[in-house]
Amino acid sequence: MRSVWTLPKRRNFALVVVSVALVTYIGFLLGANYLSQLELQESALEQLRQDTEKRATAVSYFYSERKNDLKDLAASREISIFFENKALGMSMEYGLRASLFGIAQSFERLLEDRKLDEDRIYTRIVFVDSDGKLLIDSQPINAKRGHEWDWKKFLAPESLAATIIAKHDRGRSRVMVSIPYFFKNKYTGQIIAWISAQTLYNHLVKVAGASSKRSVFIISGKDQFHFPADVESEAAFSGLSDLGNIEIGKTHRFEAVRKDGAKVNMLAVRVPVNDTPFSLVTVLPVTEVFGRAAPQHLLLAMGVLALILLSGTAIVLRINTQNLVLHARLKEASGRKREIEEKNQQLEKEIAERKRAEDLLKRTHDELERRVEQRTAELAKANKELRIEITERKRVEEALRESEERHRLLLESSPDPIVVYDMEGKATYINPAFVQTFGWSRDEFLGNRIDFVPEKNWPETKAAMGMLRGEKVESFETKCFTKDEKLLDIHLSSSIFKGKDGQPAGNIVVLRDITETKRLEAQLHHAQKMEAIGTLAGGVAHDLNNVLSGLVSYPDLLLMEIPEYSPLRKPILTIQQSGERAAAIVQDLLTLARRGAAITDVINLNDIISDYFKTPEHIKLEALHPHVQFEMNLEKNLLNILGSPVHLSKTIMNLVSNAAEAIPYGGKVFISTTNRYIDCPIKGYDDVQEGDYVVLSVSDTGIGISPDDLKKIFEPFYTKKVMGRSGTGLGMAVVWGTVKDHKGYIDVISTEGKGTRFELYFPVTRQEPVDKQTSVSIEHYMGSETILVVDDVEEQRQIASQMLSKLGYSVRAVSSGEEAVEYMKNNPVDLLVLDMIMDPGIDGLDTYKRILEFHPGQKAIIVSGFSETERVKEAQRLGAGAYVKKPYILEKIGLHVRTELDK
Amino acid sequence: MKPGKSLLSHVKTWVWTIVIVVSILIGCAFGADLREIKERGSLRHLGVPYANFVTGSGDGLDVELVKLFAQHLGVRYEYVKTSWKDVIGDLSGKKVKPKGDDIEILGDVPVKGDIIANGLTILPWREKIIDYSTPTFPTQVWLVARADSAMKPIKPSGDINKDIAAVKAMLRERSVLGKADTCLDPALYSLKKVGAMVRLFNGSLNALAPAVINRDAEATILDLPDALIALEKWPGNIKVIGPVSPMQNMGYAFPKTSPRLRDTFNQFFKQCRKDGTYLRLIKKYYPAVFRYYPEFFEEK
Repeated sequence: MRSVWTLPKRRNFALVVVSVALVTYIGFLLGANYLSQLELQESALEQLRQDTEKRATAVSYFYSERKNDLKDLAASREISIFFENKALGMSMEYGLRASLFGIAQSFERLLEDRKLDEDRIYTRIVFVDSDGKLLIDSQPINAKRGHEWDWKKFLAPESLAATIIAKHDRGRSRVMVSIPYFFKNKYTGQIIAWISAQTLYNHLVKVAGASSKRSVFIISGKDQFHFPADVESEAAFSGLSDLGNIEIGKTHRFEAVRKDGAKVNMLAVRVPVNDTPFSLVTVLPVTEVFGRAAPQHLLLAMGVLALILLSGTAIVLRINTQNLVLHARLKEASGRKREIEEKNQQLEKEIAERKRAEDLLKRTHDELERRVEQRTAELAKANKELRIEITERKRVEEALRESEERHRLLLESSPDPIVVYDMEGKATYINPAFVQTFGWSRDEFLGNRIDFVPEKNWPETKAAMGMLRGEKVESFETKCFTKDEKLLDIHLSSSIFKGKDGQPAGNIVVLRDITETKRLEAQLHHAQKMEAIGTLAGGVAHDLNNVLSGLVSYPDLLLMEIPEYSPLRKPILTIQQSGERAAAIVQDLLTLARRGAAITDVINLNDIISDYFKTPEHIKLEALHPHVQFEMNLEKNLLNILGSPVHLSKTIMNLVSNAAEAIPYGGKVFISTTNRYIDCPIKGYDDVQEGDYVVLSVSDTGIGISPDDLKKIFEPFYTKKVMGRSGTGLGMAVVWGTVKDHKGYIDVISTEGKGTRFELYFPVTRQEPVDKQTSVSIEHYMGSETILVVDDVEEQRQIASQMLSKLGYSVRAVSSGEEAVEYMKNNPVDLLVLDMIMDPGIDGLDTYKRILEFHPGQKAIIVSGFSETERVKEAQRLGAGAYVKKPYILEKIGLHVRTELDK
Repeated sequence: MKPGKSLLSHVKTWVWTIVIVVSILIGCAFGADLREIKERGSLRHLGVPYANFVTGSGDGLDVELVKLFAQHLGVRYEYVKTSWKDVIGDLSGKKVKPKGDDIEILGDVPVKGDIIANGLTILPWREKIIDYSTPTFPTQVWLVARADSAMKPIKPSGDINKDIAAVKAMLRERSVLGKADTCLDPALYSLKKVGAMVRLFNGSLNALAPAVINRDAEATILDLPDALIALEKWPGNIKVIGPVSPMQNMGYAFPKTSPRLRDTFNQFFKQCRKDGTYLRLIKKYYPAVFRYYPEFFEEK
């Protein structure tokens, strides 16, 4: 407590010391402030002077520019042109006035160009001639000009430079710039330009700021003010008249009277405007510069104020000291109270903390239990799913095993050879069909690279390999070698299989053996060709036979008419033989078309060969090929065969003819026959089956046949010969057809440049040949019965009628079936000679049917140029007799007619 | 009724019928002029480059005014270049030869334009073959000489006839350039009669003043607008001696078969003068002429 009371005493002492120091300091400040006030006033005056000087400089520059404007104007070409034209003597009326327009335009340009912001500097420009007459005025003629000037007063020829003229006229100040104009050194006039006081004052003189009480005046002389009218009214102070007397550079104080009568202490500064007759005077109330209080009064006021402040401060300090003691005690009591409260709060906080910890512990425990339960449930669920998955996997594995077994069985049991390749092109699997077809065992083939594809089929193989790289490849046909070098036709198809990773793992190649299929296809193709030829041949055979009838039938009639010793008999017989051969060829064509028709005669091939070598065809062949030798080597005890002599003769002729023609520069043709027993099939051009055969061999030493041609030589119309000269394209087809009709085989061996050998295998027969039919005497087939010949061809009717008439028969002929039916209704005959095919109208069968309706048992024979058809057989079933092919000879038709009549 | 009287009555009836028919036909022909232009969709402006009327650079006082007229008609403007020699024929379809104030028709030529707007002075012989609009521009023909010519400009007497006589009096044995078939044809002003050595210029009208400066002749006659332009272009090189004609007017020319077109133009021109359009164009192309004859261009 004692310390509390001793503290104020010490502080009071310190306060006294501080107060004395403060009083001293305040006294110093008051003194310094007084001196500063004095300096500030000086500075304000200086600033005022500088401001006025700055404005004066701007005004001076402004007028300098205006003088330059007038100098430029005086130097302009427009003014000189006027005076030049005037000097030439031109009158205003006739041309000179136009020159004034140029001057006027230059004045207008100056008025327009010279501006401060948007305010024009010049208000008017005139040109006054040396006589004082106004020549050009920029103001419009009709503009109000106020009053006119005495222009002569403006003339100033003595002044060479531009001058500024200030005129105070009727209360208005006007400033002009004027310059004399000289044309050819002769004074000819004066240019005068009016300056806008408003523009000058607003832009260069006027003090900015509405609150400023400062005014700036332009003065010329001692009492001429130059500023706009509105400024004049605002600055209407009395007592300003002495401003013209203010000494330049000095500050002038004076008392002025305002409009309201109040006296105001004013301050003025005057600054000259260089190169002009003007000065600028800045006028403002003293208070604007120095303020309202004098510096000494300010000093006294501030001293009193300082004492009051010091006394107040001492009292405040005293009160503050007592407050400090009380405050200290109060602070001590409150401190203790705060400590107790803080401890209580600490305790409450700890209790709350523990309670929160317990709650947290309980929540954590609960959460833990919940998580354990959840995890247990999840584990149970996972176990259940795992069991299901294991079961599913087992099922899948089982299905996979079954699938693999099924596929393995499929592969193993597939009749088509199958090879599985890996991505590197190595075979990893072959099925039993592959082993069986191609001959390689699994050990030989797997893991080894065996090229069983012929070289020429590599492109297809490469394409197939392309499939391994994912390129799309269609299935295709190729050829493959077997282990024993046999070439098979293969239909190859391939597909990629993927591994577990979904990427291609290899490909499965199925190699189907289509060799047999291809052969059958070829046979079918051949058969179709032959069918086509047959259709063609059948179509023409009928007509050809009709044509040949004349050649075959008429010689008989002619021979009966001419004597035995006549030299014509031989040529007529030759004609007949040729006709018969031609007819036989036609018959061959028909036979080729309808193979298997006439293989019924028991013949010995040697007889056929011998007969052939006597034929005119062979004699002619030998004549055509004199450089070719024909040699025969015939088996003496050659066995018989069943066959068609005509076909076989034709076959021999074709083979021999071809052999001779294959020898261009001399050589031999060998014809041989032999008996041969085949005990195992021969794989040759044709696969010859086991059995007894008569083999006809025709070989030559000619040019040979290329392998490609060899495949096609038996195809109809395939020929290397010149058509129309020696071949018809059917020769070898007839050979093939004949051999096949005789159930034989053909083997061909040919080497280009060396020759060709054909071997024809004919199955032997144990039958004996029938004796050759001997010629029958004409009396045996002559008669006197009535015969009706029915034929749509006129020539055929004539031949038949003449032959049968020759034999004693009573013959009638009609040209159609319908006609025959009508004839028979009223004229029954003993025998009908019926042509089978008649066009138009009903054919032989229908004719016969209709006649049978009213003449049951009517006898008839059938004649036709076409081969024996079902309709022929149908007619024969109805009662018709023999079928006689056209062309026929007298004996043939006669015997058949007689035989039928004798039935 | 007497036979004689009946015949006279009959003749009168025929005469009146013919007059009515002809009037109708003429009316139809007149009516077709403006209609044809509107149907065609273009107004063909016949022009020869001359002074600031047709500058030859696509503008000029007359070019702008005819363009405005075409716009007023709602048709396309089409400039047809012609020559002073052919301009009348290109408008009228007649080849003519002036004979004093009269003309001689030499034959037919194709019509190529609808309006001549080319600073064409209104001359009596021209009015025989074409129609003019209301005067559009004042003019006068002046004698312009080289600056060093011995001829001195006349002092205006206040009487135009005396002034013309004074000028012509100076022309004896003086070479003077002019251009045939134009308003500057010396024959129009009888210069030969006063002893002038007349030379007909082959170049354009714009080249007359330069020809004088180049000493092709001592003097030339020029239209007032052309003379003022020459004074601006070649100050100090030429001087105006004085007038050779009284005051004249220029106008826009129309075929005599196009009265509707001419009337429409006159109304349009009146409107242009009223609304200040024409004054604006004059100040643009002929400010000096405007100052010379302000009374002509003031709105009437």
